Amino acid sequence: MIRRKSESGFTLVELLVVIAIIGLLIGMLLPAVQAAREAARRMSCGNNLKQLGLALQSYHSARSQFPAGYLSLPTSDGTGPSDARIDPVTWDAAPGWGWSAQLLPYLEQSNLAAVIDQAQPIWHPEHVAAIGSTIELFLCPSVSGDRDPFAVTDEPGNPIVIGGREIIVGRSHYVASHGQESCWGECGASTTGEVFTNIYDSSTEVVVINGDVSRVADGPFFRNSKTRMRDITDGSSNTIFLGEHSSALSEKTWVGVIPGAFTHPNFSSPENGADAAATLTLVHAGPSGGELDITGFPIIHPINFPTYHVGQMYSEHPGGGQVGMGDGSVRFVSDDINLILFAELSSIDEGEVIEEF
Amino acid sequence: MHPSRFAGVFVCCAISVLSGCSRYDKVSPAAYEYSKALYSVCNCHDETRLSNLALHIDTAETESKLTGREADWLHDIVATAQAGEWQEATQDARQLMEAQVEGM
Repeated sequence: MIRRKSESGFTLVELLVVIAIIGLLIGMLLPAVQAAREAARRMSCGNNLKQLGLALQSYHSARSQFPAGYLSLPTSDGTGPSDARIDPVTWDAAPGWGWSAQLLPYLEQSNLAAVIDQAQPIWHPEHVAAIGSTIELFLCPSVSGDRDPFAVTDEPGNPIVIGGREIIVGRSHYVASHGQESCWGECGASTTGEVFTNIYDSSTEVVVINGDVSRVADGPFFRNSKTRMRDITDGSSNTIFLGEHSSALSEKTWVGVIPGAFTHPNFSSPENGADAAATLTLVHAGPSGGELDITGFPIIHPINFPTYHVGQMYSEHPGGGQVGMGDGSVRFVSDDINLILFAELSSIDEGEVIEEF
Repeated sequence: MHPSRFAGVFVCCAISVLSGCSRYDKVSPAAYEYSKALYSVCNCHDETRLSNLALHIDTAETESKLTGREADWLHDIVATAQAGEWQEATQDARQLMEAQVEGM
């Protein structure tokens, strides 16, 4: 009698069924694991914003005002000493230190602050090492974009070279709010007038600036801003001070503003493009300069608005992003927050009655 | 089913699930402007502007500023909003705008 040897092992179908079941189980489990990990990253990011908010409060306690959006030699005619490097278009100038650089002593970064002379420009040779520092507090763990220092670029995208050196600056994933209007680019110098847009009726008003951005800016941070708590008549808990901006969209820095620099988008939408130096550290909610859509409604771009301007907030947390309020609290703002409400939250003293969000 | 055919079906299913699918495609600058306005209108639940915008879209379609497919997409979003589904319409307008992003 011939005994047939029995075959052992799996058939292809059995193998594929097993793989499919395993895949299905992983597919069911993975979203939960990823969600838990993202929740932890979001909490860490929120903690960063909280620390920045507390530092702002400490700064205000010490100096009776919040730090300037960025420091720039004041000029009312676009002229000044040559070493101030006054940008002929924006009138941005030395020293350029941004709100976050001014906060360093209040962020347990006293050693770094000690090697920075804020009376000297960012690009001073003694600052080379300091401005290229990576500070973890300024980095959101959910960001998929770069975390390393980067070279500041001009409008065509070439690195800016001063004194034979490229300006390499430490990165930040957090930005400060300029308010509704974006008074940078040629607006920052406007001698003919900047258009201020009313978000309720789309009416416009022309305001002559002559380099004084405070005449148009309605947010807490702008060039040479000196906002005090008492200026925030809309209420500090109703006013957005800080927000996120992932480097997946564009490069931001904790250092400040280099005159003549431009921020470039890392991906393109039909509407985004390079924007002026102030967007290295500031963003706005819109509208700006009379921008209206085809129905005549002001263009407001809250966090993650799908035009993806380099001058707006942008977060990679699912469903929205986090903002730091004027009272130091941190709130999560949905992608689909009411446009008008977001604009209202961005101004410090427009007198709006803010709804819950 | 023959094992090789079964494997083929399995691979095709896996690829289609992993690749995902986008409801919208690239549109003209004019259609993009309308989608942006639609996002704003739906976000604000503004019925008056929605009616005006629907007329704008009709006119643009008549004047051949929009292709039939673009007009259909925009009309669908308008219809969703008119049905009171503001949230869904807002999401649709967002998806249409996001479909225009390159390199994200």
